[in-house]
Amino acid sequence: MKALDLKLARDLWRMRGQVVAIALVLAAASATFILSLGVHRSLTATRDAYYAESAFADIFADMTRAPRSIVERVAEIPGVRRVEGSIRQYATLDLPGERAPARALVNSLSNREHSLLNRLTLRAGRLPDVAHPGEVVADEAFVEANGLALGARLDAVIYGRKQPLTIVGIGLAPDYIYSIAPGDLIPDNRRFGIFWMGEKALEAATDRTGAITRLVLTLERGASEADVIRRVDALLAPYGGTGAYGRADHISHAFLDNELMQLEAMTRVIPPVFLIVSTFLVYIVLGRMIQTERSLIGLVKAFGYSDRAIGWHYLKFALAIALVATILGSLAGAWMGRGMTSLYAEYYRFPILRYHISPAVIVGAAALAAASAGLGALGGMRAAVRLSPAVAMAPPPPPVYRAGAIERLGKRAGLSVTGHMILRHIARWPARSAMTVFGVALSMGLLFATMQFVDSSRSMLDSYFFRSQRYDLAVTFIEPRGADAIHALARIPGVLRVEPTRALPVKLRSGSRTERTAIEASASDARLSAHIDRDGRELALPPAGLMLSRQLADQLGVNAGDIVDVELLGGRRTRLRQPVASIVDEFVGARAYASAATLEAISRDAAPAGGAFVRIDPAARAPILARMRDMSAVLGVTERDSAFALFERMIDDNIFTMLFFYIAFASAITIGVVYNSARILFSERAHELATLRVLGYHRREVGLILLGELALLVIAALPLGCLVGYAMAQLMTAMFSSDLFRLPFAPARSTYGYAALTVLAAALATAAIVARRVLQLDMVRVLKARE
Amino acid sequence: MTVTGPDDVPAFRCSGLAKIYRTGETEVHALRGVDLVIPAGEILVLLGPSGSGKSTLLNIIGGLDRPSSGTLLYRDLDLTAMDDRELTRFRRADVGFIFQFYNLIPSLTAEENVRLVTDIAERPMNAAEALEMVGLADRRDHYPAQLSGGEQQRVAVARAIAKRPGVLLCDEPTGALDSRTGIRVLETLAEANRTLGTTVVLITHNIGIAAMAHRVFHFLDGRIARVEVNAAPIDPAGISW
Repeated sequence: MKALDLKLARDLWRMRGQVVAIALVLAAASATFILSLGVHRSLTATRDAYYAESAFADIFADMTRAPRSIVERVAEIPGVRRVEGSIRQYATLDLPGERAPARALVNSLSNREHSLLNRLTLRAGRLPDVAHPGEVVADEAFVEANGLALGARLDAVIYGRKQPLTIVGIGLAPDYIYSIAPGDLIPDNRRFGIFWMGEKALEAATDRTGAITRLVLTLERGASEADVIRRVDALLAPYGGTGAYGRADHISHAFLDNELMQLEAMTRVIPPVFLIVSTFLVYIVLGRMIQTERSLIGLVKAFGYSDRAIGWHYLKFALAIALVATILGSLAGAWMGRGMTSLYAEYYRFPILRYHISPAVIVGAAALAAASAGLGALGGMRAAVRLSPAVAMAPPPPPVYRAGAIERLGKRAGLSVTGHMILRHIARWPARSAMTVFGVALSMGLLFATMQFVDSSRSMLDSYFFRSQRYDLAVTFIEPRGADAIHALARIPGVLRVEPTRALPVKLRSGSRTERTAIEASASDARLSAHIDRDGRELALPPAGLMLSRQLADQLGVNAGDIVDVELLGGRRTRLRQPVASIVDEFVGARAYASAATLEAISRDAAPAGGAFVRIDPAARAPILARMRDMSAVLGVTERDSAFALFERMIDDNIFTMLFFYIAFASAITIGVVYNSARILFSERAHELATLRVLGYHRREVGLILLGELALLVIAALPLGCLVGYAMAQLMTAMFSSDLFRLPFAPARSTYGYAALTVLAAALATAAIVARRVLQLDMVRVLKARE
Repeated sequence: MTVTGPDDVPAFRCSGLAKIYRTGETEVHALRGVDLVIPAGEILVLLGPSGSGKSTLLNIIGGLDRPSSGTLLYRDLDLTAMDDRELTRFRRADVGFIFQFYNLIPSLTAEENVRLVTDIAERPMNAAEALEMVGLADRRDHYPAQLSGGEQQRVAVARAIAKRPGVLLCDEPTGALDSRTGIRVLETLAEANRTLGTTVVLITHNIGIAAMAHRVFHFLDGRIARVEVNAAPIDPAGISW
């Protein structure tokens, strides 16, 4: 080993505390980078492979009923590669031990050996036998959630007829990776299952011999999706087509896409924070190191080492930190990535979802770490290279202090002499002091931005579940029903109020933008549902015209007062124009609302109810659910409280796990910044502090000078941290918002406090470690050396 | 803390004072049993080659370091029995230090450097008064970087005497100064001794300085080899450098 490298190794060891403190911050950058990019890539690769292997369709279309021959006609549309028709039918299930009705979406399985598109992957068992019409394949999540096994029997009501089913296979399909019941937001695998049944059997069960209710197709390369959709819609119009849509509107695909988008947002926001702080830290630590090694640099240069060798020597110091960080970060990132992937596997059902970090991701993380540390080293390297040997070996000129503006304020405030020492030292090194403040502020900002996700989700849930949903049960009917069904519900003992709901599938168009959605209506005297604006205000449904959610309005590019084209889907394909009467800034979904009267005017029929909101006496919940389970008109019942509980569990699983990591990571920044600042401060001031001890200052008093400066910087960082956090949180909530959710920016005031307390605790603990050195300060040795 | 006794109580009494430094496996015997009485109100000079134990003794009697064995009394206080807090209090109240490299705080002006001490001492003089004594009243608002070496050392002297210490301990106070400024510094020390009654213990390599002392202790190999009593100490102005 060359002598200079030996010095490097010993420097790294001697300064191990500082090296580790920087490496931890840099490791947090690597870990979050590897975590989010690794999971993103694993998820994307898994999805793409699964889509390709199982021939996931490009376009999907549902209709009331069409002759099977329509498949050939759709196949003739230019740009269409493969088409497949099938039957989809909701069924109610009688699950032993389940108090609320459970639903299943039953899909027909082609009689051919393999279906062409959206192929089923069998995880266990076999496909249904043509000779046994009651045999089904059930989706894995449903089977697991209900503790079922192959051979399990359950009763279903399909198309009004009770039919015993036997589960002969367990499977997965690419169109149900994320399977949620209509109207739900997260999977409730106990109450909602996907079944596959033999084609003939389902035809017979639904009286649809030779007919289909669903078309899926793939496109030729380069074909226009919009074009094909238009033609498919035209073909399906007479058969009650509800409008073909592409993958972007496919619910399972959209949720998965949303998740990927959030991961990407994470990659773009979080690692850079750590990288910036690491650059600062390397800059100040190496800067100080070169300052103390001034005469040594001069000596080595006098020996004949080139500037380049000296520069490279200090760069290697920075790169060594990057190496340690990459190793630590890769291990942590891989460990967390595995955990996060298994969390995803609970909600997203793939045949195999394995966390795989490609070498490219690690190389990317290493390159970022090296670049960040190297950039920080540049300043110090330049100083070292510029130093001429003769100048370097002479003692450095004494630092020049001046009384600045803050000073004069301090003087007026009657500051003690030691107070002046603190203030002047801060003012003497403004760049470094500013970096310390900024570093701690970034740490607090990151903490705040992460912590406020809890407030954000809570606020969204509160608005969605409690302020806007004032019912206990949301009942869905198998098909639209008249007033009799509403009365039947109202007659159940314990039911306090029933309000019909209706949703009319439509396409809204403004200019060149088109969105598929449903106009939801409630009665004018509705009390069980409300439309809550972002600021908590309740908006009444307009007497005429539509109320759009902000998300939908943005997607259509319209505002209140504009006119949109409304095209009814299914049944009559009427087109008419409707004014946008108001916009409600909601958090969930892209939705449209109208009063029942407006909806009747649009659909030109008396309003049958698609479902109902029900308020009940909580004591009678179980018997009410049991009654509803036996009602043939009822397809499913969503209990608001259990939907809320599912959401809470997801938040606990996901957000709190992430929160734990980010609190640890953000604290690493504070620890790294405070530790390095304190060490540098201590090394610069050891001489002064020893002098004060000689003059008769107690350890505590001397420690306060050291800690006082740090405390001042950390305290100055708190308000800045609030600002940084505010901006970062807004950026992050915006980046994490999607077509599906809009996260509100609604931090609780206490969150600022928690973030500040966490930073203070981390800073205090770190400073205490360095302050211990004051106790061990050797006055005699320090004073013998000339600073 | 300051003990004001009758003048016949010596400032320091030590016997069998030894100090062993352990660095790794080697032991360095810095002091090998020093017996010494320093009368109050005198000027003492410690002479001897480097490593003979002068600085070690000065640090120990100043409460910066502890002996490995032996007894040490300041007036009638047992310094060997004191813990760190008590030693700090002792330095704070009774000891003024002056070093070869001034050890001023660069971020504080001359006056503020003196105030460092007057802020915490029990019966200090005014910081301006102390600067007046060393002839630097007009330089009070200058930072150390704006003062010459001699001026800096005089600020250090002002800082040391401002608390009216019982003893002034000076480790090579003129080591970095030319003769003219060196003599000015010594004059201030002699004046403090005269007007405040402060005991002055002074380490030097400059044998000429010994002429201003009441007593001269010659150190060799961690022991006092010889003590000279000077019946007629001269004024620093008369020292031949």
